[in-house]
Amino acid sequence: MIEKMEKLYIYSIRNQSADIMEEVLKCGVVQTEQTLSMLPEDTAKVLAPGESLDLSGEEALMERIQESMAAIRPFSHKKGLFSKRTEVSYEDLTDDQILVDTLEVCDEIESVVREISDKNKELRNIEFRRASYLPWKSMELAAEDMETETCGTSCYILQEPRTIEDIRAAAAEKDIAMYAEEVCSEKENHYIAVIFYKRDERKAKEAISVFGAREFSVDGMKGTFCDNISLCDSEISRLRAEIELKEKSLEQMADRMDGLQMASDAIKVRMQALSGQENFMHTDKVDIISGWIPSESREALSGRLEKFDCYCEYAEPDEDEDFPVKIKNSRIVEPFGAITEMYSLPNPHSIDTNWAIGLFFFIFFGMMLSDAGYGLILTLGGLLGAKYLDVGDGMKRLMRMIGIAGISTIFWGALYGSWFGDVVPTVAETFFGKSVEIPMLIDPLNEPMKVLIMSCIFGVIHLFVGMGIKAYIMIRRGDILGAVFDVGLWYVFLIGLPMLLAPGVFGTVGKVMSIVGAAGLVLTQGRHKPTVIGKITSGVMSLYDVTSYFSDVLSYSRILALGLATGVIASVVNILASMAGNNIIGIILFIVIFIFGHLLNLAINALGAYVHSARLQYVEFFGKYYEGGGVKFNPLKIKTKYVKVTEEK
Amino acid sequence: METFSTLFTNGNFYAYLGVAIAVVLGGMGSAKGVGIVGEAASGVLSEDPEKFGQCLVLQALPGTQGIYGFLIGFIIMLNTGMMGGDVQLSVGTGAAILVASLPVGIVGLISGIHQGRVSAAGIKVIAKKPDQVSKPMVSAALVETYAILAFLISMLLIFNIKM
Repeated sequence: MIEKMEKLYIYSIRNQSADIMEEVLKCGVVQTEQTLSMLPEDTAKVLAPGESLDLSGEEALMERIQESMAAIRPFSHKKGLFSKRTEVSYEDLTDDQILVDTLEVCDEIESVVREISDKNKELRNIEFRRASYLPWKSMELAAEDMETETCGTSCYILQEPRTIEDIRAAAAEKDIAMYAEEVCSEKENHYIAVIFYKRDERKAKEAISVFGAREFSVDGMKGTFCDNISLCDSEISRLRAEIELKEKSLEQMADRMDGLQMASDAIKVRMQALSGQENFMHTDKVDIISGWIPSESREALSGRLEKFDCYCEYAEPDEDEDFPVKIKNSRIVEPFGAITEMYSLPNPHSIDTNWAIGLFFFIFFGMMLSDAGYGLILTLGGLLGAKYLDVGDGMKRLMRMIGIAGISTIFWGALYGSWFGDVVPTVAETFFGKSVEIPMLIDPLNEPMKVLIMSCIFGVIHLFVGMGIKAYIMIRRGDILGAVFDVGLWYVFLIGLPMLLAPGVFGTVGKVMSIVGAAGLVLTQGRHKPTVIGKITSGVMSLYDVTSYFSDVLSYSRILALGLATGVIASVVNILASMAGNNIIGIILFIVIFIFGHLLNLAINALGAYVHSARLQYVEFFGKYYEGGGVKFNPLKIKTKYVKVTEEK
Repeated sequence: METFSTLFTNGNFYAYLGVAIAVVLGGMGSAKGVGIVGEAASGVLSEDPEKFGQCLVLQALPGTQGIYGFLIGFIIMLNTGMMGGDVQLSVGTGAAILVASLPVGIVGLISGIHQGRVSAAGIKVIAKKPDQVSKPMVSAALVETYAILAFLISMLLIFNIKM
């Protein structure tokens, strides 16, 4: 059912507002709203608007913590599947000492990270230098010997299609005395050393630069290229060792991870508390905190706020005012609410129908998967997982839903005699040479028509329930005649039509029902149209909707198809698994293929059953009555990622 | 002596062709569909590898057509005794099997590709609003409806052919 919501105004002395907000956050039952949107206009006019909130300090800190966490994450041990979050009390989590300590850790990690990145940059520079020296390796002239009293040496990199011959020819042509030698040639580049008289330096360089040759500067270099390369090498290995050392020290800091995670949650909680304070309106001495609260949580909040100097006022929402939607159901129906939420929450003035969604999802999912073995896996995995794994609330809910739906799968699987397909007869025959019969009520492979009809009957029930809910909503709103016309007449007509096919009395009754229904529909379905012609055409055209009911019902044939698919794939797996016969290799092969094959089949068909059961709800069922568009009730409450805040009593 | 033309008066030939059509066309549709989604998914995964699970679910959806085709092929093999290698079918029966395999093959081919395109578009939803992943899943399932109907018809037809 949709919970009743009330507007809440807390009038608090201004210097206590922050503490009150913290209490509200811990209580976790209030969705704070901008005061302006909740107060009548003339009241709001006399109040001063609230300060907008500056969270940039917290956000910057959060970013630093996250970067530090990313730096040491590769070294910290992974959390196991079954590990649970550590529990921390709210007081410990919001202790300022955590942040002080964390800042130190962040400084430390950041300085190491910075050193590593500096060293890496240096390393890349040296590696680049080494690579640029490499082609000149065979040049034995030391850099300090390149220039003598009268001669100079320059190194050039010349690109194809130019070659050393071009330089020699140019020198000869311009009558410049110089000696050019190719040191090395790789890919498109020629590495050329040129010796010339200093007095010809300018002319020589000009002649060479015509060919687009780049000069390779040796300024500041000492010794031969070979010497320099080995110098680089030693530098590189020194830097690498240093980087490794620094990474080791990062690795030693991996145990700070827990502290960082806690600090990250601490900041998150602080930001949550602050964000609730945004947009209070106030007078000189009093803040007005406003929001929505479920009626049943009033006591809990009032009790917590007793110790403060504040006054809580509650008000019912106006008749047509939209309020946030919170749905409350029993523990069995509750998980199925996820299916509704995936579509859209019901409008706050409509009704909650999760019981019907849950019931039919339960039936359809089981019929589609229809294997008792798979059902057992889902039930055990889902229910135990939801109980013992520390996964998020959403995941727990999904697991619980799958677990419950698994029970239906066991039921239908047993009905169809399918336990991991036909594994029991197959094993008995292959390995023990006996034939075993599994008891079954219906064999979908041999009597598919029976299952098809059953699927369609369930479909009709599903659709009729949907129409019934529509009638209920209309009656609740006082439109009783509308319910009779729009739903009652369709019931008469749709039940009458198939009865026409039956012989004898049923046929006659069917005839009467369908004629009465059809006539009624023609007369009533155009009642909202202004003109007589409009009324008649709409009335007649409404009969055309019978095709959509027909296709809706046929849509349920997918239940049979998906059920058959699971069963047949399962037996294919069993056939493949038992192919190698009754020997050691056969047994090993059987186990391997059995496990992988059935896991694959379970994964694919559970996904299919889930998606198609949901589709039947969304398209066929919701199409009949659903009024969506509700906004989810999203209370201000402590949300943490890495630690769990212990609940206070 | 067997000549090429005797193929056409051989019932077994049509039945084997039926198996091939169901498996090949269905598989092609799924391969193409799953492929399209995989390409789209890589874009998201390069940014955010943690969404692999969600992407995988969407990518698996267009894979069912291939499975339906395979199933029909397998059922034909079981029902006609191809698994044992001893097949004796009349031309009429063989042709009926061939025709019965057409729905799952052709619809599987087309719907697999289109379901792939819908799912690939759904990958964008994972990128932007990962909590809404169920909605594109349902959209993709709408396309699959027709593959399911075709599979159902192929299956019912084959179950009811007298071998």
